[in-house]
Amino acid sequence: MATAVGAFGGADHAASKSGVWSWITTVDHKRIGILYGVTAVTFFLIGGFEALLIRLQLAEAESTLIAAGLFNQLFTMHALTMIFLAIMPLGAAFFNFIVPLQIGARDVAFPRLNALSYWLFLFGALLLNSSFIFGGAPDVGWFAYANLTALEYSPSSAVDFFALGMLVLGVSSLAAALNFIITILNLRAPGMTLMRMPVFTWMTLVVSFLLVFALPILTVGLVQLLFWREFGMPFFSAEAGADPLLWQHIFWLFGHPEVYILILPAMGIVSEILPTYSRKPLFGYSTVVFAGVAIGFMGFAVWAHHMFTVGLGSIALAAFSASTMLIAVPTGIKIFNWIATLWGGSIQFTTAMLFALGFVALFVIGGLSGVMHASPPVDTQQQDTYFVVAHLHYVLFGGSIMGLFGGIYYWFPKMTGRLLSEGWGKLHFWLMFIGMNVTFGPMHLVGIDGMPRRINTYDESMGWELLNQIETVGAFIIALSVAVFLVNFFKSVKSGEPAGDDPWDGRTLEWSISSPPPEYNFARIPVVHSNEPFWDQKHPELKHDAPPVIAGGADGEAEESIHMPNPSYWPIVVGFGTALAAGLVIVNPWLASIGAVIGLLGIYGWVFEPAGPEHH
Amino acid sequence: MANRKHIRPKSLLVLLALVILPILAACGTVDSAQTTINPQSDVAREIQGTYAFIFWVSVVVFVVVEGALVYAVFRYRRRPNSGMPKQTEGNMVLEVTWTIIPALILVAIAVPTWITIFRTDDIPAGSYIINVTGHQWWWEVEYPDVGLVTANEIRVPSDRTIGFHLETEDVLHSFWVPALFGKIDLVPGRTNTVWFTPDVETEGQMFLGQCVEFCGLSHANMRMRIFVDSPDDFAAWTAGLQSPAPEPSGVAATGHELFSSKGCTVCHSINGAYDAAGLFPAPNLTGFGSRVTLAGAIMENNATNLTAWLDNPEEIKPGNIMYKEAEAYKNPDLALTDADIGALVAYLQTLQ
Ligand code: HEC
Ligand SMILES: [Cu+2]
Ligand SMILES: [Cu+2]
Repeated sequence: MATAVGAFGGADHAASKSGVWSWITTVDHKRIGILYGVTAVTFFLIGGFEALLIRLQLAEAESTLIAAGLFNQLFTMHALTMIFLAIMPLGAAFFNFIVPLQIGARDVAFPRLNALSYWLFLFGALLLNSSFIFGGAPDVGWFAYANLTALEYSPSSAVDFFALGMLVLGVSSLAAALNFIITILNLRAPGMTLMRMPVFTWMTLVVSFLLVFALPILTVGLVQLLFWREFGMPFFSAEAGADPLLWQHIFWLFGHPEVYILILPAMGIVSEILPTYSRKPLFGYSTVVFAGVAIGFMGFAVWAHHMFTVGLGSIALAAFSASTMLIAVPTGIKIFNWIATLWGGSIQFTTAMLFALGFVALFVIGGLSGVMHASPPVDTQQQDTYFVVAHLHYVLFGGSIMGLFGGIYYWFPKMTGRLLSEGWGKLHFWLMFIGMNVTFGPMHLVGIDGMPRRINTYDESMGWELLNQIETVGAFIIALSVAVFLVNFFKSVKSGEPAGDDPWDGRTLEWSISSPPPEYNFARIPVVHSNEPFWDQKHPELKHDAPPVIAGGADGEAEESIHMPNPSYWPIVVGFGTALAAGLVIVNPWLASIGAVIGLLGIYGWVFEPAGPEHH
Repeated sequence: MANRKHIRPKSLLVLLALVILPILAACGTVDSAQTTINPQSDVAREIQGTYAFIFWVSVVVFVVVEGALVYAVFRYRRRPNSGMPKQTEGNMVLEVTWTIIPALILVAIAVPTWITIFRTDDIPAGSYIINVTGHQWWWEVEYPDVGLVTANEIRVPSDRTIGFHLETEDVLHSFWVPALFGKIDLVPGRTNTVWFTPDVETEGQMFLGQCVEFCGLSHANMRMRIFVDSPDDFAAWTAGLQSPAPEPSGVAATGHELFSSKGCTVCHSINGAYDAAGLFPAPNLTGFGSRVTLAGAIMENNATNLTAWLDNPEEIKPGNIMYKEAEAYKNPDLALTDADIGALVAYLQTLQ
């Protein structure tokens, strides 16, 4: 394997840089990826804590543990946190760290913009959560339906925190998405055609396009919401002749693609893990890719399935139920192709593989319950009940979270040079798998029993208490599994087994360089001839048409001079100024100019930042 | 080592069974108080038929797919002597097959779905119409044909098809009594409709429902009931409400006076139709004494609960408009003493 390593990566690491300052000014995609990951896991813990409080309240009928007002904040913030501050940035962590490695690039196209994305995300997240201190967090549900968000019904600043926090997060995601589109389209190693890209990179590309198309829609809605509240422009007010349903259309036209923004990265990860530990290529690579693209595009044509009970009219119901059911076809294709990938393979049950298998098993359940409420009449009995809560958690927890944890176990060695402990990892998996089913499985039943979502109390006579208690026990099993993960993580970072460059007999380019990779990733940019270049190079005997050796020879030397971008502190300045301006709008629009000035100064400094001496 | 490998796929199997069984058990929860799968009307049964069909199709798909997954995981686990597997890259025939079969299954699901949509869409001509208006956090119920207004408890005749016209006074709500009909949202600026014909056997029965669109602080406390009355009982009930309430005497008479002097009449009207002059929309208390429940159908209507409600509505129903706006709670001069409350309770209970 040593030769193979030499083919792409130099063994020499860049002089290691450390210290807080180096993290603040970093523009290295790998370090930014780690920042994203650590921040996302932190918010995952916060969102999980909120979930535990919700579960404690519901474990008892007519419980008075948590007051209604706080309960409404908790379920709203739980959703916002998990979606925008945990799952999305965890996906972004992998986009950042892995995609440039998979496509044989030295960094993303715009490294400083990449840093700005991270800082905007961090400060936007802090802004959103600071509402807990400043008068109460958003309490109108993560969908923030008009007209509950009107000043008349939500007089506190909670809704403003929601709108402004989401705007800042939106800028962050949009910048990141554009960066990744441009990176993937332009910085691929020679020979890596689109149809030779690893599936994870493909899904990153699809997700980035979804973000670019979906986020502006939300942005428009959020600006309208703010103008309604701040300046009395009645975009969603029925009294003024407007239609509050407009908000729902806008929100779900963003919100449904958002669902795929949350799940496709995990699907990409699973599409990497399953082949690796089956020692077989992904079955039907191009079908899986096209299915992913199809899911992404069709995702824009189904938004009204969140609105089956608003009185859309029969024709619209029929049309949107059809488009929604249609999406099950590409989704089904993916699942069958994954199973076919396992078929005939040589399956190794590593922790990463268990998470990937768990993903497939649980996602199937979420998909099937989804088809049930794709039928509008059925949805009139399921919408806004715990059945839907069960469905969405099988998709987002059983799907996204399981897939992302799989990604952590899979790529942690590449990121740190050390293996996560398999023993602790398997304990983590089984506790999480069991806990997840104990928590969300009974929600199907209690939903069928007619228990609505977003209620802080219910009568004992409803017969929902036992199932709720089981769910709460399950939630604590999940919490335990997360604790096991944290122990594993900290132990392994410090003293985990050294991973080597290619611990899993990997198939894609990231495994061809050292772990962790040098700052410049590839000493020589590889030349690619297939969609599993590293595997084909390691196993030329398996190919009929033996592929040419990849890079410039087995002993590839580093190119003379590698230009790497300099660290910069301007991104954090711009990020901070922007979020500060957004936060100050809530206090007084004029004060916001303070943040704006900081942001503009940051941009000024950024533009005129000298390129500096090249360094290697 | 080989042993351990044997255990894992099996335990996976057991766990999957643990997931399947509760889902199947869902069929057995028809007795729960607000169950969605024990239809008692034509519309609800139509929906349930669609659901049952999709459910069983899903069970089959579930067993096939999870079965294939578990089988593959078990069968192709790496053994000490496993060699390099064949590097299969795909198979067009297979992939086309598992594109077409799911598509066909979905068509099979879509067709009954569409049929149900069109069969349940508009209120049939000649239905008995009831107007419902959503408020934070209670339901106003109007019977236009007899000019009656009541709240939270809806009585319907068993021999008619019932059509609801639904509007909201403030934010979104959703109207839902699962045994009788699926939910429909109340949207500002719109009139939505839903309808059902109660089964014959439902005569004399009561059905639970509640608001299922998040509508603010006390969303959980916005519940309702539908009583299916025999035609005679229904006629007697409307006639009773239309006749004036008996002249209160004793403590109740004091209560009657307090009801005006403490400012209750600013919002609540008694006797007959909704008094549009009310400052804030509030439940019409005509016949209040004969209602079974109180304050958005969250508790039984008895002296204890009514006393507690008048004593501190906020504690029972956080955020409610009565506590926020009524002078009796804002203005210390008009505050209710225990004796006042006793008298008001006595009076309110005479409103039969
Ligand atoms: C500011 C308007 C307002 C005033 C004044 C007011 N109420 Fe109310 N009342 C309401 C509202 C609104 C409700 C419905 C609360 C809910 O269920 O959310 C209500 C509910 C009730 C109910 C329960 C009705 C039902 O259908 O279950 C009773 C009884 C009642 N009020 C009695 C009184 C009495 C007695 C007074 C005078 C001391 C009073 N109210 C003053 C607005 C008012
Ligand atoms: Cu959707
Ligand atoms: Cu509600």
